[in-house]
Amino acid sequence: MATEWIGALSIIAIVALVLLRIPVAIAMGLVGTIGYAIVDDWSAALNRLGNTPFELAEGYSFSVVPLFLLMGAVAARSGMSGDLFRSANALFAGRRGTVAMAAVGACAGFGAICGSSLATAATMSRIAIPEMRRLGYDERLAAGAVASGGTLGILIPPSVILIVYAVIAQESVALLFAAGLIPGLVLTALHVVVIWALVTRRPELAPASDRYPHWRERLRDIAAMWQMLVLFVISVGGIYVGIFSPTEAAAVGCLGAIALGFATRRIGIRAIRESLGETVRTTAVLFFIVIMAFIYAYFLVLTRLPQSLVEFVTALGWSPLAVMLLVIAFYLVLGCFLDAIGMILITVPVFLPMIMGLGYDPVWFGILVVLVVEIGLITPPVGMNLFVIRAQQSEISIATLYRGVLPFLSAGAILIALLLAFPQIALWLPRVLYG
Amino acid sequence: MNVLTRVLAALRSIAAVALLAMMLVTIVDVTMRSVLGELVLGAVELVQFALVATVYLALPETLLRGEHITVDVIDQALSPAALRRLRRIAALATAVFVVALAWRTIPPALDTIRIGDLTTDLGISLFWYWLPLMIGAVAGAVAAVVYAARVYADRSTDGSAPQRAGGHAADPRDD
Repeated sequence: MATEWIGALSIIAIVALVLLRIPVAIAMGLVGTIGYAIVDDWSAALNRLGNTPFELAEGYSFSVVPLFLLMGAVAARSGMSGDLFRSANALFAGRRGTVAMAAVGACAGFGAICGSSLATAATMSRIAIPEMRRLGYDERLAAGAVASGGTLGILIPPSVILIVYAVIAQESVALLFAAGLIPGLVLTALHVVVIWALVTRRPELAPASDRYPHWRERLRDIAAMWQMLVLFVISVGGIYVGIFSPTEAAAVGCLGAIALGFATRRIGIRAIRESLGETVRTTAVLFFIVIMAFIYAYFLVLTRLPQSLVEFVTALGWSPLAVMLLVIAFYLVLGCFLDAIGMILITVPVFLPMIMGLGYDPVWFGILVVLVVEIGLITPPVGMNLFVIRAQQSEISIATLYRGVLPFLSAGAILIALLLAFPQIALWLPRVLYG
Repeated sequence: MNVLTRVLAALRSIAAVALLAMMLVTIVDVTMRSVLGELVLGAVELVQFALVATVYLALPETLLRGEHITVDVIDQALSPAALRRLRRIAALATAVFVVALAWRTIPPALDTIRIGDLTTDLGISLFWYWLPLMIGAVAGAVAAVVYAARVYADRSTDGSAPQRAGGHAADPRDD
């Protein structure tokens, strides 16, 4: 059998193992090691298995991940999510569907200091959904807004998924963080437009909200997001203007989150210990997958599958857009079954050479992939954000959640179309900042 | 708490200290560069060491708690007995793989002592970088075997795994 076919079969094997409940990391490690042994030999495969974990020690840029995760964990414990919700509420006050729009706005804000969609959805569902239910919002709108809004966390920098993509694609984290900002803001605006359209067509979905009696109170509530803004400016802003490397920015952001938490007396030593414990366990789970993906990637290179795919697609003579649409469709289908990190790690080493061969920018492709993966977080049957919300709001049925997110899928679809038509949406800011 | 749980919790605490050290070393490095125009010698190497310690010393506890990302889309379609069988196969596959990983990390780790490789800036032996990896891999192997044994001993009718009552083994920060 040609090695390329072994490579292609390995993708099917991983997806099958994952669907049979083998942990994603183990599935990739097993398939990568056994595949390596088939293509080369067992001695080389076992040496690769033993040596690859040490590559973590050579990757200084990896350290940005636990530091940004720690910043998010501390920020969540110091009540910044509640402040953001209050600010966003004040911002949209006076409109029908205000609280749903505020939930989306707060998700975007929390995504700017957190970097994880699931954490964003988990945090905001505790705050926004009970409030919407109290005010008589339709459950589908309430759950859909938070589940879909939660996905903004991985597009708006800092983003753990963007960092993972940067590592796999050997691209600059700073460039990807710059490229993700405008698409993230556009997607936030599209979410608000979806809510506006829904409540305009069917006013019974959400009650009209009261206007603020005085502009001073409104301004005071809007200003409640100042801590989030400070953290975003000193960390991600520091990367944009070139003061800090991503790792330095994350460390400064961590210290800032801890200092703000102590200064406002919202956290103590216990909260720091809990944040550290949570962060190291998450980091271990995440990096175990990344290391196993490295083993799998070594095997893929041996099979020559990525190069063969480039040659195959070139021989087909399809237009780059047609190939890209096929790739997007593939991701959307896969997103229904696989988690975000697994999808990125399995597919990017295979697709990226082909995409670059077609003349697409790898930074732009990174944003597109993250966007499509993001949609996978809210599409059934494996929509991780939906499960997170269901775990916290058990009285909302999974069917209600599925129906609730449906209208918001249009926001993602519109942004995909916009990115295909106007790549500058992602590439303009990196060019302005880094030339 | 049994002995294994305590040992793994202690390793996780060391991982947390390493993460805190990573943050502080980076802050000191940034401050020194900004204020004095000098870099801290070996800051990058210290951060790299801290990262290895953070990841590998926290890993065993996650294996004992079955916290690794699993897709449970098939659960609804299976009988409790079939689901229990799948859980057992997954736990066994994890244990076998992590034991093999631990076994294969030891030779290259010991090689660093024999060869005497040193880091560029601090001149410390590369073995110190391998040490947390080796400890984490061996403790992880023990944890994965114990977790598999618990899954095999589990007789609950709904097929739920020990410690985590079904559903996704995903942490809210996985992505």
